[in-house]
Amino acid sequence: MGEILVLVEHRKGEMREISFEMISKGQDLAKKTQTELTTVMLGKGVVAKADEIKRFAHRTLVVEDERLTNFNSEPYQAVLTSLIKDRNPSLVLIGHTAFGMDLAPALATAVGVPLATDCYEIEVQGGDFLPYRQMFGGKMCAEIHFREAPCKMITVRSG
Amino acid sequence: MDVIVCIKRVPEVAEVDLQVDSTGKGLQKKDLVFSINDWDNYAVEEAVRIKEKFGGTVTVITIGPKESEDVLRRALALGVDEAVRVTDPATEGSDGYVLAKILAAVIKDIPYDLILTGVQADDDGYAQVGTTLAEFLGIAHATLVTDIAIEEKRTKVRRELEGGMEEVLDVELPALFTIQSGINEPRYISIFGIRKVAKKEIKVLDLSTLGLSPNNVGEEGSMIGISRIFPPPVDKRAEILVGGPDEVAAKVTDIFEKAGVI
Repeated sequence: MGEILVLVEHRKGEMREISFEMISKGQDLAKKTQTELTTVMLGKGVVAKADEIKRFAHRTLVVEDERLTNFNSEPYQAVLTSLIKDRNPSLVLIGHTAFGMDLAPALATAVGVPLATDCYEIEVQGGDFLPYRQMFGGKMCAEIHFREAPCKMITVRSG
Repeated sequence: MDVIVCIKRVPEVAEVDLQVDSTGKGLQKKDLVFSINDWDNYAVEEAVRIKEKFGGTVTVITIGPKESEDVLRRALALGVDEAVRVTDPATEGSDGYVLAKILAAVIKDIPYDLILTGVQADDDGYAQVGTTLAEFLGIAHATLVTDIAIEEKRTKVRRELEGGMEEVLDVELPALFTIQSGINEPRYISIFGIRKVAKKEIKVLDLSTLGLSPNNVGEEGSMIGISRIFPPPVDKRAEILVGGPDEVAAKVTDIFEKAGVI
């Protein structure tokens, strides 16, 4: 089973809370599916920040470029498309934030992976990921199933 | 400036007790009132304002049964020029990916400079169709847009971030923007206004006209599906404090003190 990949979110040199929530969930899911956790950080001058979080994962990848300084879905999508194709993760976690909402749907389509957005819980059943999300303004919850695919993507609700 | 707006008819759920239907995957619809998705309403208003300022046309598209024409008529009354409805029983159960694919098939035959959608839909809340559609069409996108300033072939858009922050992006057209509620104040549509457009033609398309096969849409064509829906679990830990006002106040203070809040 491919690794679990968490896209670390940061803004103006600060790690965002959602990143730690995803890393924690990623650790749990990696354990349950007997795979490894990889954190990915895109940006410029973020190596020191990446150093701070590398102990939480099996490996931390950093992609540095001028064009990645601030979040912009176009260069981010280009980098992550090739990264996902290259590494074949079983699951990609992205925050359901202003940043993730802009990035994830187009990225999932570009890579051809199923995406479940805004999920508040992810369970593992028979080696597959079962995301849960809210619908109808939070008045109903839904259990989601993915189409059979080697890689899946989930955007995670904060909290 | 030709603008396309993708809109959706959704149930109004805020004031209603929702019941799961017999399939376990959807809502019982009989007591529900449907209307245009709130975010889409802002998108339609924004498109009409752009037309009023720069000229051009506005086309609205929806996917759904005959009843969905309500939201198209409403858009026509607001000042939209053309309305298109895609309908096919096979589209039932489609996820955001498939809806975007269908919209892309419609849009390939319509000239446009700008496409607007709502940020997300009131019902499923995927916040996915807009940007997926932009990817299918190979155009730039921006989400959570709170202001659009058009300058020739470019636009400056403001988008909402968390914590009261915003960012301004410079985007080349054609592009797709998902519109955040509150970007404008949608105008009032009177019954008379809707009656005036009652006879206006709505273009109806089915899958075969769009070159899509039933296997590519609905649950079969979707990337994800809903296994079941259920009401949020109720937390039973609520504690009701009883007694006179002073007594209750003392108990509250006590709880706060124990929790280290005060």
